[in-house]
Amino acid sequence: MAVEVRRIADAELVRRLRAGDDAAFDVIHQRYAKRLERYAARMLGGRRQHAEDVVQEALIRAHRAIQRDHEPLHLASWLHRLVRNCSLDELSRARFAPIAVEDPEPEGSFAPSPHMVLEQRDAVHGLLADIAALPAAQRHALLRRELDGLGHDELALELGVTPQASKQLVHRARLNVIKGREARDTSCLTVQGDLLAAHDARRRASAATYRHLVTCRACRALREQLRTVRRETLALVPPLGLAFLLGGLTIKLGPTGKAAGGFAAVAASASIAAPLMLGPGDPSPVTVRSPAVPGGTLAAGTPLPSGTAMVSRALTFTRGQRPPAAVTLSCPEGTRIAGMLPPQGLRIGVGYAPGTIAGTGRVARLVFERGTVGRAGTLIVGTLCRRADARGSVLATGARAAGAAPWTRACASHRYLRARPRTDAPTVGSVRAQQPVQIRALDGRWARVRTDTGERGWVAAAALCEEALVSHP
Amino acid sequence: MRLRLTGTVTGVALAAAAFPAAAAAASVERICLPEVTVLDSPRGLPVGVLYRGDRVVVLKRDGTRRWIRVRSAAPISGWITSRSVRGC
Repeated sequence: MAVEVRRIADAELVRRLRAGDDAAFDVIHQRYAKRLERYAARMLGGRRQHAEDVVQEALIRAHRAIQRDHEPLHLASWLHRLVRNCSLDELSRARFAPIAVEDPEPEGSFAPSPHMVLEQRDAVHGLLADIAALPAAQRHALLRRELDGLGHDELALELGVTPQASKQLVHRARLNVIKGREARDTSCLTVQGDLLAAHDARRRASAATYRHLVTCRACRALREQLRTVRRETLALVPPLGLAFLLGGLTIKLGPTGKAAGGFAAVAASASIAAPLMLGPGDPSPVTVRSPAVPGGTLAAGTPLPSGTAMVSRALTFTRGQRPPAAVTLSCPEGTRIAGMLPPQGLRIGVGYAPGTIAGTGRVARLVFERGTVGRAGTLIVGTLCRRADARGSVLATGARAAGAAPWTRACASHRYLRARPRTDAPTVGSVRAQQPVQIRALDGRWARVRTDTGERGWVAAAALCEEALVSHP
Repeated sequence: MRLRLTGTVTGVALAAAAFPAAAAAASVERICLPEVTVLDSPRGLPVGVLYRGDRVVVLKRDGTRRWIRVRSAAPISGWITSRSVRGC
């Protein structure tokens, strides 16, 4: 019987199974189960104890698929492909499994920290994602060559190509994996700049950006938001309606009218994309260092805390264009401007225009340093928005040191804080309009204050709101 | 031409003599670091970013000499560290 079973070719077993002979599948199981388990164990690495389960799952899928389909297949390589895919699925599941932080190792024994484990896990899963993203032939060639140690002659036979073509497939696969790793290591800011520029110019982003998206959730979220914005914009303005509006405008003003002048002005300066708004829970596209975020730093990719939002706009320049006179960013209802986000892309000095006061107001106007732009590219500018706390402050820090004294605010537009209550005393900081302050002492026409940023000094009492001075004992 | 230049120099010298504080405070500097964040107060919120080569007028220096309040051409106003304009 054993001899007979050994003699039956794979193609015959497949034919019998398709004809309804389930005994043929038992033979397939006997023939391949152990081999496939060894293959799965190599794929799974640290999770080799799941190899048997993975193979069982793959064989169940194989049983269904063989009966459902009547295409000729090379059973051995097809089963290996199935096992490989099931192994990748298993590893993906493991990626999101929580890391146990309880029951720490006894002191003295070496154990990798959760951070190291996460980093290693990310590296492994990044590699697996890169492999999974390869074209099927490249993936198969790479895995069979690297994991099974197959020679190019055997591999060529399996793939139905020449040994030279098999070598090329393996080389290309390795090259693509390296490119994938490089793309993964690319800064999110670069990738997001490319996404915004591509969105604005209505072109595809670069290949490196797409590779990065495979493993980066924050950047994928941004791409989804861009798609949503475009869908919503298109829904608002149907193409026919837009054509009608533009046509009507041209007829009304004529080709040499004011509209033509307006278009010329737009062409000479940057094109500005619609504002992009991120709310609580959305991943931050940039690392923010500011007292307005809890802990003073919000890393890129970290979800925005509650009561926080970001509004950004992308400006696309061609060489020689001038920046716009100002760009407006409106914070969501109920929030205030809480500081500028680090600009990304082109290096053009940018900041709040006079009249835009951090911590006060909802609409930020940004102004630019340069007259013209030296090279083509995109500049992404943005502002952080925060809900003010009970003190009227947008700062996430400082409340803990609030003390008993009530908070009031500065009413003058800007005043320097002095080390002593004299105009010629050294400057120790400044107070902006509406900035929350605590009055610590009054001395004639001077008040000793502490600001919500923690700065201390003397300021002219006239710079503080009157009600504060009245209520101060 | 020479007469006009002499007149200008004399005017500036007289103005500096008349308003020593203003002349000392309003020096024009160039940003020397690759990137500098402008803050609304030395420990405050970011209100702008300037890059190497951007020119700023120094409006005030703090008592510790670590911070200066500046205004750029845009104009962007705020505090930057004094080492941002040192060394170029």
